[in-house]
Amino acid sequence: MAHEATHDHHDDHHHGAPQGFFQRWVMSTNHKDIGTLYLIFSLTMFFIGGSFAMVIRAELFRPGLQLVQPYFFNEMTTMHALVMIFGAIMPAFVGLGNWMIPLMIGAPDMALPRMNNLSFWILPFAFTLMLSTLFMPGGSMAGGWTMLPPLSLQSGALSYTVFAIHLMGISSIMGAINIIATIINMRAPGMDLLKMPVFVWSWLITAFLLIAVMPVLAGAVTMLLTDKYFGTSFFNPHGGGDPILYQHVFWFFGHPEVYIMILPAFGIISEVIPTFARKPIFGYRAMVYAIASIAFLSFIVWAHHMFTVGLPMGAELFFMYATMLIAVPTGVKVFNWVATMWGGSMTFETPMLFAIAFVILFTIGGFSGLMLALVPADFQYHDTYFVVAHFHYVLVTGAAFAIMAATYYWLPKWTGRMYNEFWGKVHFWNSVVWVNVLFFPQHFLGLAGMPRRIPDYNVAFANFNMISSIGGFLFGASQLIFLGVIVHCAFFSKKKATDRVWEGARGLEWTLPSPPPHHSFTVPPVVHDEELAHGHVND
Amino acid sequence: MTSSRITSGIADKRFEHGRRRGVRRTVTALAIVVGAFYLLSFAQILLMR
Repeated sequence: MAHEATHDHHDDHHHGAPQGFFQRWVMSTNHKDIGTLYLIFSLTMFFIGGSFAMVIRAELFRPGLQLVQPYFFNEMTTMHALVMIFGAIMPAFVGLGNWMIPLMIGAPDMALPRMNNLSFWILPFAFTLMLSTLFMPGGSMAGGWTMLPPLSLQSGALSYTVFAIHLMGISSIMGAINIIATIINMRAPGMDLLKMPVFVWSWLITAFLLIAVMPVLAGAVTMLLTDKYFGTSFFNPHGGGDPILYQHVFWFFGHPEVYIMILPAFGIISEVIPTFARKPIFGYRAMVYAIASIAFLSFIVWAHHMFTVGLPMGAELFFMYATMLIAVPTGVKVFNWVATMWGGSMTFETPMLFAIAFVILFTIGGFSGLMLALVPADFQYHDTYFVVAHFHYVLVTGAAFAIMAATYYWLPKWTGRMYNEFWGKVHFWNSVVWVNVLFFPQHFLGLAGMPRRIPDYNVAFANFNMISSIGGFLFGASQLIFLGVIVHCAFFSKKKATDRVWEGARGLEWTLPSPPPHHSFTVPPVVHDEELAHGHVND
Repeated sequence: MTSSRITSGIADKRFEHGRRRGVRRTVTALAIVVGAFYLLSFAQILLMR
């Protein structure tokens, strides 16, 4: 498959990786090394954000104030969300995109390698800045990740957090420009747009979403900054402003942001399931169009986060129906994943287990999302633990499980060694059991009326909170197995991976050796339709 | 050098040149879009102040 298109020999520059640590990792312009940096950063943030979650669940283990003061509790909920969203989930997808997109489309590297380096190295500075506010007098932001005024304006750490968010936004936009420029221009001859793997499609659409909404977030947080320090009154009724304006601007960014965190997950699952079902993906074009439809709809549903602020009835109806409409393309995707598995010669290696868990558990999160989309029901559920349960099903058993599936799926390709399948499965079963013990009771707590973001609660909620906390501690501990499997695979595993790694794997990336050379596809490969990722040419 | 190698060398350069030109155009277009979005975001701050 990967024959050379324009060369009949292969003698041009084959440099290895730079030898020095500083040169290789700090100055890197190589998409694989930068992808690795992103993934290591993401895993670090995953554990930092996870440790904040442990504080939250420890405090909520019993009613009454147990371990921390209420303000610190609120700092934990705020920082947990900001770290997990901007530090763990998003960089993980960028890392996976960096590693895999050039390999999947037959490109030698990302289109803008030096900008790629800058995109990554902004992040550690941004997060150091943001996390350092925890140790400052007055503490960090504590009004929730949405930073709603007037509460957020009371924080002395606002300026640091806003600056950190600007840095994260610039990093994301540069990353998005790089990904679009790579996919549009760097594809190997014959890799037409509608022959690209679904993961590449999902990232192309996600990158456009990022470009569209990151400047909006920048505008919103800058208005907060000018309200606090420069005497403006955008959100201050005393000066003619309106705090609801902030919610509109924020959620115009915030809802597409949710899809930024889930569309690449859809792409990953669309790679994993066909491989282990040993069948082409069912309805390739429908999968691509569904991703594009979801992306479009994400721009016209923002006010479903604000049903209780007093919107006009017409607006509430519009946003309710528009939100429910998202279930159609999402349903197409879930149906197509199931149809791909139907009649396939399935095997259940760890990536496939995570992918199947994703399909089932993400769908639960989707259904609770549909419940929240109903205006009259949302008045009951708004700002309760039901919402917390809903978005954790979407983002933990959705986005995070997809990232874990992707890690197990591509780790042998990245390292050239097989991970330990037994411990991978131990990690999976522990994760899938404890994540449900953690989040499923939160549905009941929300329906019973327990509000979110509180350190203390009525004794009526004690039992489900204790169950949820036990699930949380064990889910958190299970992730140490994940860390162990990765470290073992990268440094100690004796079992070599083959080039194709998985029997049913299709696509350009599997034609390269495992691990791929530091510079791959320096000569563009020729793409043969029958060997394309999951043979979706004529469906 | 055989004639086929010379031909493939020219094709390589054309291909690489096309890629670079495409990247330049895409990045310019996206930079204009992002710049306009940022300008709009900050212009509204100045206008609504």
